[in-house]
Amino acid sequence: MRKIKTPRENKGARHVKAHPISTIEAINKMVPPRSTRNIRRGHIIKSMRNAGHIGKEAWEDAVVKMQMTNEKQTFARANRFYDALNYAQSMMREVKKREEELQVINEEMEASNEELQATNEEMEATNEELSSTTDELQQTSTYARSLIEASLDPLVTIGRNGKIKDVNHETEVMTGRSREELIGTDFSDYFTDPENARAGYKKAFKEGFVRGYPLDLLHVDGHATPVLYNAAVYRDEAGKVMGVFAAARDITEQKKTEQKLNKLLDDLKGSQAQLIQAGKMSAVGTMTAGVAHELNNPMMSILNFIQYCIKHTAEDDRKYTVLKDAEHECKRSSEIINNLLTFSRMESEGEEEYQKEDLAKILDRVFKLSSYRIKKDNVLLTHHIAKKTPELWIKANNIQQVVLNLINNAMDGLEKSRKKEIHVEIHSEGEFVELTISDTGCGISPEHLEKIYDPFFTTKPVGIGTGLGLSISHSIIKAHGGEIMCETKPGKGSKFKVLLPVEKRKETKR
Amino acid sequence: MKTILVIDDDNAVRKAFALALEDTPYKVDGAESGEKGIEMEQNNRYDLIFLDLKMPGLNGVETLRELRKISKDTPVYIVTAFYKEFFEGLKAVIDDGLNFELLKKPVGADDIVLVAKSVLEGPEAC
Repeated sequence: MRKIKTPRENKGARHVKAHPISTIEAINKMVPPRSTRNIRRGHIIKSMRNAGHIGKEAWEDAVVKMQMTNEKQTFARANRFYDALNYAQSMMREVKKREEELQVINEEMEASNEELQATNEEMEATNEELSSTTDELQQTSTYARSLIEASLDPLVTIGRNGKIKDVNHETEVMTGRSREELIGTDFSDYFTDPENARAGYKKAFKEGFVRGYPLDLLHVDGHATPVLYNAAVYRDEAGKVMGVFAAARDITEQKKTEQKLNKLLDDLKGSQAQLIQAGKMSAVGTMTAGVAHELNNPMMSILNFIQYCIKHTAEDDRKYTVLKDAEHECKRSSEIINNLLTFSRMESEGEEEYQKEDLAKILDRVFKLSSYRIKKDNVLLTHHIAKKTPELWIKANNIQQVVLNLINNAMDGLEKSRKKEIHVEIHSEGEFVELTISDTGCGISPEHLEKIYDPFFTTKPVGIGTGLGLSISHSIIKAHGGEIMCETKPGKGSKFKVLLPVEKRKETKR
Repeated sequence: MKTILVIDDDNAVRKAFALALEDTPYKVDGAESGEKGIEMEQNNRYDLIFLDLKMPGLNGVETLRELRKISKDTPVYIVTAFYKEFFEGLKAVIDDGLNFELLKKPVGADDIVLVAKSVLEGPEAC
């Protein structure tokens, strides 16, 4: 800063030309500015100018005094000016200082700004991360939900209070109720046995899980689905049990299979019983054949003995008619034995050749064989054989067995009927001859109809039917290239239709 | 006199034949086994033989084979109710060219006489 020199230093007030009238002028003229005091002093000076009459001594003192006063004033002025300058300088310094401070603050602010910028960037990055994390969370959640929904098993979460918290789509399907309907309701209401359902739930709570717990899930329409439940408790982050997560497995198919298997097992047991029965019957059959055969010799002898007696008895003798009756009965017995042999297993096991045979003849033999029972049961047996029915290439004994089986079955069916009628018809049907045997018996129920040709299937009491008759008949007719069919009306009667080809069938190995 | 041999292990059957043929001009002999029958045929050469199939010892088929060794042409009637058991054996006998007839038991007196007469006198005799 420029140093202002005092008037003394600046050769005193002699150089002062005039009193400045303003500060600017004062500065320019290098004199203190005119002030009130100056003006007053000016008066003094004026007065002193006017004091030409003042003695020299006085003047000199006055001058000195004035000089001193001027100097003082100037000095004071200078000091004031200096003070002002000083003040201005200090102000300037202050400003400078403030400026510097500002600079510093500014710099600091700039630094802060940079930091803020960085923080901002960081925040933005964090924000992005957060956003992507949220996306991932969203995806994970969607994925988890889609898995739950995709499950073919009904899934359900149940709270500690036993109320449903969540279900998947399959639960909606199996209960016939919407998610909204189910959530918040008591889970046990949707089972046929709510008590048992609650017991399972309690068990899951107590032991942490249940496995394969059988229940029946109730549909809104009333039908029940058998299921096996796997359930386990689930916990929050602190490990506190929140409820039970349960998954059911629909076991309808397994149940059906199980039922089928059980039925098969029952059938098998039945079949086994029937096999044992059939075995017994077979043994009885074998024995019958043996007995029948053994009876043949004595029968033949008795017949001849009687005939010998007849020959030697006069016709007018009373004994003659008795002997004739004896002969008749003996012949009848022989015929029974003969038929027993014909139809016994041993007889049918032999290989029989195909031969040309009239079906009517076979029918006649069967009628004879059945005549005793027809009379006993009071059955009206009628038949109609169409003219020009051709002879057939058949195994006569086998076909006879079929016809006898059908007639016997018809008579079995008539036992409880009020109207006891059997009608047999034979007529040509293209390349076949058709034999129908219809009765007015009890008929066959629809559930039995599909089984009548199954081996060992019988509705007759144990010991009566072997369940082999129709099975064997079916086999025989098939072997002949024919067909056997049944029409039946339960309670009204049955009609069996047998079609046999007229032409010779090439023998196939059975 | 024409002779008839009945080979049957059952005495009553042999007796039945004898009674049935009592009033015929034929002499009827009986043999209780195949072995005995063969022996008798060897000694006498019968005009007609009635033969049972089921017998202890030699059965009817085996007996027939032996009889045919003795005489090829003597008519043999196999009398049985139960020939299935011997079906294969009889088939083999036929295949070997040995002849026989079958008569199904029980046979009554009239049939016995009828067979005997037709064989021994010819069909026109009946």
